Amino acid sequence: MTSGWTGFARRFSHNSAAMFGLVTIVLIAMISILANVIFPGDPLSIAGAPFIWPGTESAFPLGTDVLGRDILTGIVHGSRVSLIVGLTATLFAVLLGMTLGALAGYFGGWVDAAIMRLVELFQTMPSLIFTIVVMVSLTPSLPTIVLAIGLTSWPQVARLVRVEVLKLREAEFILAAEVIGGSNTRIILTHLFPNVASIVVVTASIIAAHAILLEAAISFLGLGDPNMISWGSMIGSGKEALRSAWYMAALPGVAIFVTVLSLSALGNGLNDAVHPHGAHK
Amino acid sequence: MSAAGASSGFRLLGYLTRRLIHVIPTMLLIVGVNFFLLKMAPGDVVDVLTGEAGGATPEVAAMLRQQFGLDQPIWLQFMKYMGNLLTLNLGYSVGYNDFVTPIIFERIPASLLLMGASILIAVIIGVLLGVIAAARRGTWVDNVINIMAVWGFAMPLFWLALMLIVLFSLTLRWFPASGMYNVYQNLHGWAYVRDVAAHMVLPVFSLAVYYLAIFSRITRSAMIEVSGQDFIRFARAKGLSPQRITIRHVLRNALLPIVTITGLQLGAMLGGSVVIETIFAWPGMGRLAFDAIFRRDLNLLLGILFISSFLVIIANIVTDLVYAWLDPRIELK
Repeated sequence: MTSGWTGFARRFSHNSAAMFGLVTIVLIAMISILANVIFPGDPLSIAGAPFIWPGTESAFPLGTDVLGRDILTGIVHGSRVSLIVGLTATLFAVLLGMTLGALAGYFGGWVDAAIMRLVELFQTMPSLIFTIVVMVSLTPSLPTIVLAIGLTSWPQVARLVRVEVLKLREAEFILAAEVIGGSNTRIILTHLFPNVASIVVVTASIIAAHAILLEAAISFLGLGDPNMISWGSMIGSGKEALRSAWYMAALPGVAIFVTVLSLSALGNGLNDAVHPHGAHK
Repeated sequence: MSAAGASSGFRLLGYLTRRLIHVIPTMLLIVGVNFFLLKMAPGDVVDVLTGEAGGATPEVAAMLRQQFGLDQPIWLQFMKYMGNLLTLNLGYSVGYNDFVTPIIFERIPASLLLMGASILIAVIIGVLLGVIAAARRGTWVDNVINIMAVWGFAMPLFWLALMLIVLFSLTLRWFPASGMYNVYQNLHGWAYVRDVAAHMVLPVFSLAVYYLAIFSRITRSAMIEVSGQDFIRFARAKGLSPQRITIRHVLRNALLPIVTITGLQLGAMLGGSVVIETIFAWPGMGRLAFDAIFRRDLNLLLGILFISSFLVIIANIVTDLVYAWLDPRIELK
């Protein structure tokens, strides 16, 4: 087997679907960063007449919605919410999941029992319904939705990391680190985490895709931050005009679809590159 | 024979008792965490009631809070809630003027019908597509099924539902897009069944697509993995027909991961049914949750979370039983 990083990069770059995912995600990220430069102004303000169909007026290439807000501006600015939620909720879930999973696997005993009880708690509650409870209880804002989605996503990471740590726990290099007097924190941070990182990265891309879909569903139901435009809330307001102007709900949905599709292509590519023997399955 | 049957019956009973005892702390934690979470919510049911009535004096509001027990310290309210829970009493819904438990139980059959039909459709079509993809591995058929599965994963189901409504309901007028049956006609017998079935087509398909995608992928990889194993080679050497091998030997083993995934995904499906039932005005528990949010009926919302978590637990236990039944090597612990 080729040594770690170069073999991984070679396998990944030869996977056309994965490269497509990576390029698209980078493009979407650039668009969302430059949103204020490309389309300055408030995406929630009225830009023209309502109900302008896409392709009929050059000033509004993707048309306007029920209130006369520009749909292209909305989609460009809405990418921010999706990407911020996808990124931060995943980061939160990964950090929490890695920490608790490593603690459970490393210490075992009552620590393990307590953490696994928490895992069970969050895996029993239907994640969308729990997210709704959190959104209703706290103020509907971006940090709240990140917190809620992060809380429902970390158990996946924790279970994975726990199993890996259990396998590594008795490995010689861990025992050696213990013998030379390495502290528990040091062993977990410098010896265990690097060994589980590759699996966690694969899971992270799946969690990010899931987080974007969950945020869209929450905003669609009208439970998101009312002061920020998001793809889900655009579909929600487009729903009211489904009969006469279906494009209002259709277009932001395409944006979600492309983003999630790219993320899962990226995840599959990472998975195949990390586990080369499973790739041919 | 009968003695063995009785003893395995006892074993099953013992197994179920152990499982149910194990989940009690989890259920208590779920209720506890969410009870205190919802107490942090701005505005209570009295605010909604007085708001609907066009405002009320502070005295009236205070009187109402006293009546609902909302003036008591939170820990006392919690103890009371837990006490009621012992008798399966999930409190009172002011918005619906009834106890929460019967309101939810009245909605469960509609939700189970929707989810059950979705799982059935997803398993049948998903397994079929997976078997076809595995049999035609590497051909264009396999590629098309693969692309469909990847698209199914990435599509927001509420968006798919809206697009299906635009095409099949608003444009083609094939299927209704709202409700569970025609409220204007008083249908009975087969006409009623046909009417409900027509109302089910779009919501069931919207909910099923994601699981259909998962099932087709899992079936495909399980089929390919199983068909390379020794006992399949042996069956082929025995001269069994390819169809018989596929159905009796390969498929039976490929079904195991499908059972696991179905059990694991029930929670996600309950969440999905909130969105789908809201869009299609389906009179189930998900639609009830949506209504509860906008009426600030927090007791009802907590009850729905409790009952749906309990359904997930039941589904996990049933999954393990089915798994043990499909694969006799697995022992129930």
